[in-house]
Amino acid sequence: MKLPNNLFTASVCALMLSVAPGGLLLYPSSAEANSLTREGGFRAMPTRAPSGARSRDIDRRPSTPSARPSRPQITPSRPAPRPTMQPSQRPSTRPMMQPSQRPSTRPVPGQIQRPVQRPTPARPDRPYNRPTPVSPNRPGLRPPVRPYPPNVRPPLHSRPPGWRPPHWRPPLWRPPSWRPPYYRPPYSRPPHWHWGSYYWNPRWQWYFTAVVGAATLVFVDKPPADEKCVEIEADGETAYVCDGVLYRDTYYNDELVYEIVSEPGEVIDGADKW
Amino acid sequence: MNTKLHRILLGLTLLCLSGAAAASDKAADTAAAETNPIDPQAAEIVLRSAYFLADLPVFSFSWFLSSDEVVDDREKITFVESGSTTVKRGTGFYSSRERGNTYRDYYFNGKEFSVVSPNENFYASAPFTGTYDDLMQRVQAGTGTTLPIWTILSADLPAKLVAGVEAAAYLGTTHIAGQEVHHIAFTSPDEDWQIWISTDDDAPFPLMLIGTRTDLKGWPQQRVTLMDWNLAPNADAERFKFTPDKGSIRVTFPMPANADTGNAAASKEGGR
Repeated sequence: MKLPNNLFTASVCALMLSVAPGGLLLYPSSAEANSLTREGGFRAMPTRAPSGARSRDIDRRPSTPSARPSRPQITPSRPAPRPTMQPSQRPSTRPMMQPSQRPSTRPVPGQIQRPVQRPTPARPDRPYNRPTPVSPNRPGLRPPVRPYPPNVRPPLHSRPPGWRPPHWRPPLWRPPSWRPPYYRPPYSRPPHWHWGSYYWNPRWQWYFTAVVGAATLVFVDKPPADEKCVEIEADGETAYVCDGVLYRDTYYNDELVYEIVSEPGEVIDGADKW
Repeated sequence: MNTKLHRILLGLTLLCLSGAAAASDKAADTAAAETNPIDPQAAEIVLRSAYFLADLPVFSFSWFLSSDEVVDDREKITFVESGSTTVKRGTGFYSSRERGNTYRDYYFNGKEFSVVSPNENFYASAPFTGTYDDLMQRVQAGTGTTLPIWTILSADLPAKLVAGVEAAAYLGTTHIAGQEVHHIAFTSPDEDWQIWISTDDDAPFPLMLIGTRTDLKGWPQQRVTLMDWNLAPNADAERFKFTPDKGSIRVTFPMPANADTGNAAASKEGGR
């Protein structure tokens, strides 16, 4: 189909007028255009009174004479007629183009036609459809410059205190249901690498020394050498009195030791029994 | 052998074969015998030797003992001691022990117990009445001293041997000092031990024992070699009585916690 040149020129001019941004007025009045371009685009009161349904053009109210100057009449200029292109008479050296065999888009009778899913045009009222504001390129509003290479994790001081990566656990952490594996008795505990064997806790220090000493100081290897001891022999048994303390020879743990029989002033009783 | 030994052997045999008797076919009997942890032959040999020793009226032997001690939970130190023992059931016990630089002689004549140190020239004596087992317990509780080779000398040796035994195996025969012996291994919860018993049925003397404490760290062992068995030693009354020299120092045994419950309490508990 071939449009006439004058009709083609008119269509192009009309299209240019309709899409011109804010340029030529396509509305009946400038007041109406201003109201529609007002922020929000909503008016509580309609501009015109409802006129109801119209059946005939006779009911149309006569237009009021406008005080404003009439709009300039734009007359599209017609382009010059193009010279007619005549096909060349020389033989073509190109291979002859065959008509494409693409399938027809026409509906085939007897088949269900589904609606075409076309993308919905973006709505500018949605926040995610709004265009990203272009930050002005001036100091203070420029985006922060990354202080470290992109493949290096951020420094620790930029993280909040106590921050840990996901699924982080302290060392030697075990789930609450964890139990140590079964170990067959006897439980001989090896000495600690620092505290040694578990017979003595260094925190006790000298607190229990007197108690332990008094409880265990029953036998001594020898009587005190720095004191003058008096040897006593009674019923064939030998005893020693050193500073009021009575010692006697005793056989204990297959060795000869000296047993502290009594403190000064204590009465000896039952020494000859075993 | 006496009737007591025969009863024990009969009961042991019935116990071992009870599972097999319940089965109907021969294969079940064989399987039951294989699953029985106590080898009847091993138990029979050990019990026969134990009852033989328990029934001996008088005997003497020499012994050599090496025992391990685990130091600092890692190092094993072995101590040795040796001596000889003469036993007259119920009336006399004499033993000499040499351990390190110390020498000890132990006398018990049924009325008095004495410990003598020949090289340190001291002795301790105390009256005591009771059996050898009572004496052993009293000495251990009162002085912390263990009489040498006391287990073998006990009259309850058969019961002590089989107490707590979980498994026994007869490992065949071998030779010790030219004498053919049975090699038997026993397992108990706290101790494993092996014993070598003479194959002579008339004199089934134990010649060597090795005990391993599996409940202690390092599994220390005690190895005892028994030699010079004599069934007719010198067992006069003077042999078991100690007479101190004039210059000997008499020492006492430690005072009991309650002096009134000394020998009397021991006599009440174990006096027979």
